[in-house]
Amino acid sequence: MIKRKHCHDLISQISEYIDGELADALCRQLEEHLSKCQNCSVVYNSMQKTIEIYREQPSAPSFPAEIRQRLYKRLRLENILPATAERNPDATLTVAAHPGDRCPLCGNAIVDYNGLLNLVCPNCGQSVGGSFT
Amino acid sequence: MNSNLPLTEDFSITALKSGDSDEFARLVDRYSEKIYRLALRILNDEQDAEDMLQETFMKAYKALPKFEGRSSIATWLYRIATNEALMLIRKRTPQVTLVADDPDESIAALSAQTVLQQFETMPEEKLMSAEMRHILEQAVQALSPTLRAVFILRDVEEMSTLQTAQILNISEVAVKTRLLRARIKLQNYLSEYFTSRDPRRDSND
Repeated sequence: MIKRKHCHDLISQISEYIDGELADALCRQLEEHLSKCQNCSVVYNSMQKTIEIYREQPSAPSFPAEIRQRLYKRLRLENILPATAERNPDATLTVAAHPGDRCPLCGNAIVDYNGLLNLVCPNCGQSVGGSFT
Repeated sequence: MNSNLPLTEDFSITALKSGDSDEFARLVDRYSEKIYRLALRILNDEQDAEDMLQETFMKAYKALPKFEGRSSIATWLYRIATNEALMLIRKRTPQVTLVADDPDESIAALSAQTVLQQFETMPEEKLMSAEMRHILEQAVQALSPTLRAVFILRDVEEMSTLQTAQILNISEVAVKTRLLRARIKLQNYLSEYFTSRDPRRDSND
């Protein structure tokens, strides 16, 4: 446990240190303390690891095409967007993607050629232009 | 993944402010996915996130004539979105859950040790598993809405302290304080979770 008042006060510095927002002079003081204080160094390593884990988690939430379409529909109904604002979901994109690119429509998968040699996204199923010819 | 807001923006503020719908459509096109992901992270509910997404752009359109350019257009959009999310949470949980945060911000080195050991001994595929994601998500949802918003903006969306301060309309010092509290609470939550699942304590696990 952190017992000393001094160590307790250092927690906010540890957090700022991890973010690279701690003043240089304080950085040196903290680094010196961390090299000597087992408890604080555990707190530092653990906090850093926790943040790392959150940052490294795969970007889970996808943006389903139907939610996007409903958003455009609502904005059209409110007369915010003109009737032509929404991309026709069946239309081929004017800017063609290349095999191995992230899908420009849903952004959640890598596009590749299908059995008919059309470039499609395995996630949203949209054709993204550029057939294999 | 780095979803930092872009520093340069190629939108015509004049066109947006005058209600140009083509320019607004470009704005929707550029930010709808980012706003939806943010909504989902804060609210953890697909229907609420979709509502928030629609409300954000409707409010943004109405408020654009008053946009003063003190922050970037993206930060301004995120601010509307975050406000909308916090409002939805308040509506969803009218009275009881909005208790003040526990003032005890102490982190025990012992619990930090538990978190560290677990993360370091866990194989990579377990760390990135759906189960792990669920636990991490639960921990975030256990934070109060104000701490959750700061943590998501800073540590998940990887925005700067200044951007986060502008989005939440609080000082940079307040961002740092809340971020620290959020991180400590997450560690304590995860530590509790790992301790209760420790096979040395629970032979059924």
